Amino acid sequence: MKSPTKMYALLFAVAAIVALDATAHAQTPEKFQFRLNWTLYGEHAPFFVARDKGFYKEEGLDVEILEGSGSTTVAQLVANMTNPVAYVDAATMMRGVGAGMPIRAVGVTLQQSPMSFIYRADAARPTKIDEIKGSRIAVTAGDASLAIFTAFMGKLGKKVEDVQLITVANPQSKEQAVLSKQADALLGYFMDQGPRMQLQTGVKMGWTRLYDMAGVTTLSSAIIANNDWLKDAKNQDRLRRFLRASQRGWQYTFDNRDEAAEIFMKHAPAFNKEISLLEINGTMTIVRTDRTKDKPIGWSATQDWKESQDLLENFAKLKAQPDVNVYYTNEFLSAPPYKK
Amino acid sequence: MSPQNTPTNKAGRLGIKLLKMLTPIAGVLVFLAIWQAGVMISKVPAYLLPAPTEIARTFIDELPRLLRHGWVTTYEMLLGYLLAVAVAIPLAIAITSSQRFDQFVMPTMLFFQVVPKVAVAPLFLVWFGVGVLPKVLVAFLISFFPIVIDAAVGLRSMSSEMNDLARSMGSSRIQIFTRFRLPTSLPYLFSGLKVAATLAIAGAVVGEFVGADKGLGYLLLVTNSNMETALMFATLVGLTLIGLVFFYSVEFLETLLIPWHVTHRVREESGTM
Repeated sequence: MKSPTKMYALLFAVAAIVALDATAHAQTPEKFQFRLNWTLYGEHAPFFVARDKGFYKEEGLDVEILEGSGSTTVAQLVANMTNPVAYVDAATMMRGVGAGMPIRAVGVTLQQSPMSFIYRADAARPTKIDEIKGSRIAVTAGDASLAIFTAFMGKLGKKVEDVQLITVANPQSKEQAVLSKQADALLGYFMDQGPRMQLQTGVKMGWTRLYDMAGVTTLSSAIIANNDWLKDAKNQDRLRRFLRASQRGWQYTFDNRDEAAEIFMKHAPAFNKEISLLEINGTMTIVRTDRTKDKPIGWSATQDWKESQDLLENFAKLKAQPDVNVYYTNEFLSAPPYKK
Repeated sequence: MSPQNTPTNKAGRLGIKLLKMLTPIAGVLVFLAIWQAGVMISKVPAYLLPAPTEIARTFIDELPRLLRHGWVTTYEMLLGYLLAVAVAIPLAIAITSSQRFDQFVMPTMLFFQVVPKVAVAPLFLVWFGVGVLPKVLVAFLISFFPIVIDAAVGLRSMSSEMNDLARSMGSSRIQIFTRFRLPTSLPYLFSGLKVAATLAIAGAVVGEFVGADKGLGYLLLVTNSNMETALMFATLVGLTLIGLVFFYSVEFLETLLIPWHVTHRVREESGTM
């Protein structure tokens, strides 16, 4: 009983337990809040994939994903540090930078604009440029649509006043306005409202992308961060880990659409498999531009930022920045396979 | 020559009057000065809180636009308010004349008052479209209740002794109503009308928030979305002005219609002291 080997074994076991406990302690994931641009829709699936597949946990992060109420509002929350990292429309963020907000994009996940006119198929309008004038267009105030729509109208030599712009306070009203024919079309994402409204209500919907009508596009959804928050080296490290796991989540979603849809539905009970999959598939078609084809997910090109700025400056009264680098940085992104 | 009419006394009285007029203005100016200084010293970014001077400049620059949208909100508010008055006063008369009717409509009325208007408003968009009607209805719904309640309290406020007196003097029911009951109720009615006046503008703006293509509520949403904070504040100033002008118009009407009312007497007496 009192043999030294047994004693050593016991000591070893105790030491092992202590050590295990210590590593477990060190691995207690850090809390990290991430505010989305909007209530849940398919585009958000990759973040839930990263969480449920444990990618964030592997990076030592316990990420809480919060819903948002429009890019403008969320950009303000980032600027005043309520949520230092969030998901925001890039054009809206550029406007915020012009207004003096200390924010920048640290990863651009949607690099082409999905903004579209979405209308009832039985009253399809506007489908052509000459149908735009006089159309009744519903928009949600505070979301991403107004900035790019202003640029779109400008590029066509028109003014926003040429349509009857109906602003509503929440996205449901926007959809109801079109369904009840109070508005001809709403401005929304082709991979979100169109298919979802069709599946939920049975009314056949149609859509025309602003890009297809007038070649208007900007960088779209981006992960943005507060510049002052980013000055802290610890926060930089946190962000780097968060982005790496998020990139991995996006890549995983890209490769495993079905599983991603299943994961997403768990968090968004309003969605069924068909809509989730439709939205995820639509999202995955616009994650890169021609310039970023071979780059890691989220990596954005200077020239794309320049073009976005030119468009918004020329047609939507954006205050241009002398150097587009104030808008973004790629330095916190990782290369594939997005692991430590 | 009576002592009151000596020139020094006159000047003194004028001075007091002037002081009385200037004190509220001075209060507002001090508030604005603190705001301005606060913004300048702590360098609050303009997208969070613009300086008063900037808001004033934007207000002047954008005046035509503010007037155009302000007019829309004003008539939505007025229509809703007038509709509320037109419905609420007869209803109050009916409620006070018949207890059965009171019991009959009160639950429904309470339901419409208690149901959160902001929550129901989105349905208005579907039912009534994006025109004037839904805004007028929200303004109506919000301003309706205080008028009914206060008018009913007023109509019930006549003492039974007064009623007996009128009857003993041979007044008919209609005469009792028009000569005694209605005048007695006016002070109460007007307090309801004044409360409703401040609510009606909020109602019109709530209506515009739900879905609109013009009006100051619409302008608020668009400027907020475009991060034009100064114009947003200028819009708020416009809304406040409309609300104030409307409130004081109702109050002015009150002083015209019931100059004998005790609240005015008290105010005048304390004013000359």
